[in-house]
Amino acid sequence: MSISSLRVKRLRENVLSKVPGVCIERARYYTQAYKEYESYPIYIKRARALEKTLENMSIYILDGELIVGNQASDQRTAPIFPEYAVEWIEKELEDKGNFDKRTGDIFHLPEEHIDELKEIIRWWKGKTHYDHCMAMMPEDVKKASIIQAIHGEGNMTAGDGHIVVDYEKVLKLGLKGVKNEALEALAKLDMGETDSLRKKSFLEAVIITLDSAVSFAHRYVDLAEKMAREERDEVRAQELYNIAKICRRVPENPATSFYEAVQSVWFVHLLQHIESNGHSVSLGRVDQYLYPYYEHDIKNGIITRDFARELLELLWIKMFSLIKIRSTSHMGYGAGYPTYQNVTIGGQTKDGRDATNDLSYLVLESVAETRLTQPNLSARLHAGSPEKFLRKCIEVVKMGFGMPAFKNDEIIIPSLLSRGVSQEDAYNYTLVGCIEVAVAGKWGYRCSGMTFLNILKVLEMTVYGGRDPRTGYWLLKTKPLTEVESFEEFWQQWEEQMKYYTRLSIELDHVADINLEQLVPDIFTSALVNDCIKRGKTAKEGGAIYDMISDLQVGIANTANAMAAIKKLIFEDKLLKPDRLIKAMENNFSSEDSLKVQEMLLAAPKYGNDDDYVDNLAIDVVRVCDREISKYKNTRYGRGPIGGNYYLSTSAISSNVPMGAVVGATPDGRNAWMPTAEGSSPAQGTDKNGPTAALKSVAKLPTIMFTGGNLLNQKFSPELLEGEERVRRFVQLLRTFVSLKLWHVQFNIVSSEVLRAAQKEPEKYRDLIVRVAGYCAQFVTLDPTTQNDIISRTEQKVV
Amino acid sequence: MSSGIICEIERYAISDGPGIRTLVFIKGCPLRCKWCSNPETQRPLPEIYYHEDACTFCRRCIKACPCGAIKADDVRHKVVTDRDICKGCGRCVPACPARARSIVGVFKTVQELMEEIKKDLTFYESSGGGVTLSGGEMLFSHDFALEVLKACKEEYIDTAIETSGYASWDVLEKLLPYVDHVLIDIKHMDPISHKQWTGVSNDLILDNIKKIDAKGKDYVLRVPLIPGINDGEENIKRLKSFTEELNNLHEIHLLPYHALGRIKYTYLERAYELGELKKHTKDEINKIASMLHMKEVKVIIGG
Repeated sequence: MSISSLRVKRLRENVLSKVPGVCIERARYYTQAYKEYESYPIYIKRARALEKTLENMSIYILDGELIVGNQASDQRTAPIFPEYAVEWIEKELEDKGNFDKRTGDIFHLPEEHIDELKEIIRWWKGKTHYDHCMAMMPEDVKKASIIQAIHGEGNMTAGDGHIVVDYEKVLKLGLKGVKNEALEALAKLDMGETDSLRKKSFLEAVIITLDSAVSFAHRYVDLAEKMAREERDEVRAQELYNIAKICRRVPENPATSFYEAVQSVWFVHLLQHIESNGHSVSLGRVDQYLYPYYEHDIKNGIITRDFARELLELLWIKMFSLIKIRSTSHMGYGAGYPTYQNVTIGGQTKDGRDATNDLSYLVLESVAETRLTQPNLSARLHAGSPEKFLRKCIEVVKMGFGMPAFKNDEIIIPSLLSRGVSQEDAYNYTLVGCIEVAVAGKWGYRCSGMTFLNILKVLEMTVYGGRDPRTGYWLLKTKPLTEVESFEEFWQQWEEQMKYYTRLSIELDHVADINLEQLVPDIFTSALVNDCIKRGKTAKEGGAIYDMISDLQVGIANTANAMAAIKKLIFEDKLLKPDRLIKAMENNFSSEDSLKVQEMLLAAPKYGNDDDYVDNLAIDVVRVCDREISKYKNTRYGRGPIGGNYYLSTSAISSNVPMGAVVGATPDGRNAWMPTAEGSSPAQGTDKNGPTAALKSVAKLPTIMFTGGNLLNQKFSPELLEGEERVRRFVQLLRTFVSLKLWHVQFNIVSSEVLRAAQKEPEKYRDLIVRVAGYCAQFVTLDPTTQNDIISRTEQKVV
Repeated sequence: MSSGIICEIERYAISDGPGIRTLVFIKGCPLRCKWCSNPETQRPLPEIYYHEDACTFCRRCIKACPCGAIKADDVRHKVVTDRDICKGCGRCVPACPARARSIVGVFKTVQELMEEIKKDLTFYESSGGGVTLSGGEMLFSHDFALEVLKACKEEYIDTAIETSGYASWDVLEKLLPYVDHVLIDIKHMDPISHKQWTGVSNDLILDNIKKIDAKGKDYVLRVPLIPGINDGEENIKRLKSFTEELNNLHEIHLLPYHALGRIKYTYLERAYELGELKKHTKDEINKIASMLHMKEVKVIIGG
């Protein structure tokens, strides 16, 4: 093993060994600044608060680090953002004393800081973004949130995130260059105009944050030099002097080397995570904007390929060190400490040529090497993607941590073009978070929404005439299933409910957006989104060139399956009476008769098997979602950006778990409180015809309308990827994914643990296809001996 | 239009011919190989799987059976189906509240089958894949198979057959114009042993292989390696000299023995006669592979 990989190995082990913590420094300095600058414009207040934090927060350089810059007092330690919400923090501290007694996503707050945090909370109570949202929220929106037909907490307890800033510009001009833009804009202001004072304070705030970012980097210069002087190991001392040299240059100045470029990108990315706590802040197309620096350094012998890879690996470790604490009640929507920092590789250039380069491969190799949950790696595929790129991606897929996820230029680009994105920008799209798309440095926040619409909940309520059986709320009355005379009539009732709840979800989104704009504008981030500076506006005020966002539709597969069961069993075959179905739903399929009903429901056609009967219903479900969401505008409409509208997305992360947890038994045969299907994927255990059938079903949906992204997850057993012949078939499967114009697909190669879980709970894993010996079979249908055989084989083959 | 009994249609089949394929298992086989891992494909009728563990001995299936094929075994608290009487009508399946009975094999017309096959057209086109007719023994239902193959060719779908080769040459020859790839088994070189282990002699099979070879058809020889039965040096040597006579052979697949289908014998209330066989080690298989190696012929393990 080379020395460089030893360094990476140590730092990786170090960061993985950390128990996530909570750091109150940011909360302390933000609170101090808010008090000190209370009467100042909100922009200045926010800029000064960031400045104070960057000046005073603890900084460190770990032994062996080459890329420096930290978010909080330690790695994997979440800062507190009291300006967004403190109620949940207070409640959790009162109930549990700390954040380390939760059932999942545990954080530890040092005992000695509890009192100070409580003091901070006291000051913020009644002043936060959340408090303002609750005060503004209409009653029916509140009730719908309690029903959990809609959920918008993520936007009321945290910032927006979901953005890729203009890293390319930072590398080319340095923050100095961005500051010059702000100075020019200031100089051009006609102070007699009504809006100019507001613009002036925004631009001054921009300058404050850019200056403080540079000063922050200079703190590392001092620290590195001090450490170098005290360092006994000469090699390390030299490294530290080099760090100092680099941090003196970037991010203030244009990058002149690959090393500087990586460090500069990291600073800019990091600062967004200190300014706000929105997740899915992404890096964009690193293999494109870092390439000129890489190419230059390799050509001139400045760096080796190995060293470049090491720098990337160190960058991924840094990204993994960032963390976010969420309220327990919102935690289920993003379980497992996710931060969704996407990195995109491959795809096409602005002029439509294949964009894969050596750096694309280096990113793949380095992500495979570090094997962390961050970054979230996306590979763009297109009709002309080189075989080598697919092969290298598959090598990483085989390692079994779900990366890279595949995205399809052949549908994403047309989808963006249809929304008015320019040809050049559409070809240059990047992934944000998981499956959402945007144009780096030109798009406002949250190309994916953060307001969830639980369409399975809406279906459940429709069966009961609009009443929610869990809470007893009855917001909109329609005819219950027992009173409708045809399937079409039942469908109409559901559409009525969908209209109503879609509107409430938009109201909820607006409540969050209005308050995010007024109370917690991000200055530093806005400075790096075009044309905020030129327009004198934050991104939230309409500063971005493009601003389109989505709602998040949860439960498409289940809703389609439920509709199919109702249509077939009740109205066509007349095998089931509505009251018998309702009884079975009410007792959660627990009586003998209800079990029979459930069996009938489960035997009805299921989406994901290439069966037109139910797939056509899924298309209709999506069309209703699309028609309703397309009626609305976001708060930036008409204020500058192209778009200003809403569209569909199924980038609903792990929301299928909490959203399922509020829905009783449903007519698709799903038991009460069980998760809904993920994104546009088939419901768990219902796609039994293998990957081609699942891909075909999903391909029937009007994917082009899902500009907010459409998600398909597939489970694969490792045998299916074993040996050249099978890998070749897999490449062909991916090529067909491209020609079928699906948005996204991610393959989870199943581990032996998953197989064991499937033995215990077969009903959840019916979709697990394994290669037995010369044939494929549904794992759960095999007898235990065979299953064990396969488990032991899997253990041998997957390291 | 004729119909066939289909046991299973497997999409994304990646080991039975080129590309991504749909594998169709047609029920009915004249051979009775003792190691058969798909015994449910042997009888040319739908059959009932009986999951004894789930049976609660409620006897409702006995009442539901129109043929009187099911009897109670009061001692062992289970039911027994006389497989010679059972016609596989399946009426006992919904009658069973414990879901201990299921049916294997459904009649499908050529048109119905084609609808399933055509669903993966896009995948065939991008991968150079297509359809593989398997069994059972697909030649056993040759009229049906011929119609399916012709229908595939009308849609420009690549076709393969996976066969024991046990049929008269006339039957096979009629199909071949519509077949792009033949996957054909050699189970034993010795006619007597072949009859002992599979129920039929191998004369016809070896003869057919020679004729396919003479026609210049794209084909692969597949050899299931059954420990202690056909893996001896003598048999492999005979196999080698047989293959040396062939002019157009390019690929041999060695299929290592597995007992993964054994449970199905229990479902069919039949005995698995082979007992516990010791599986081959990798080295043993590699040794056999190297024995068969020739300049023009690739020997692939698995397939």
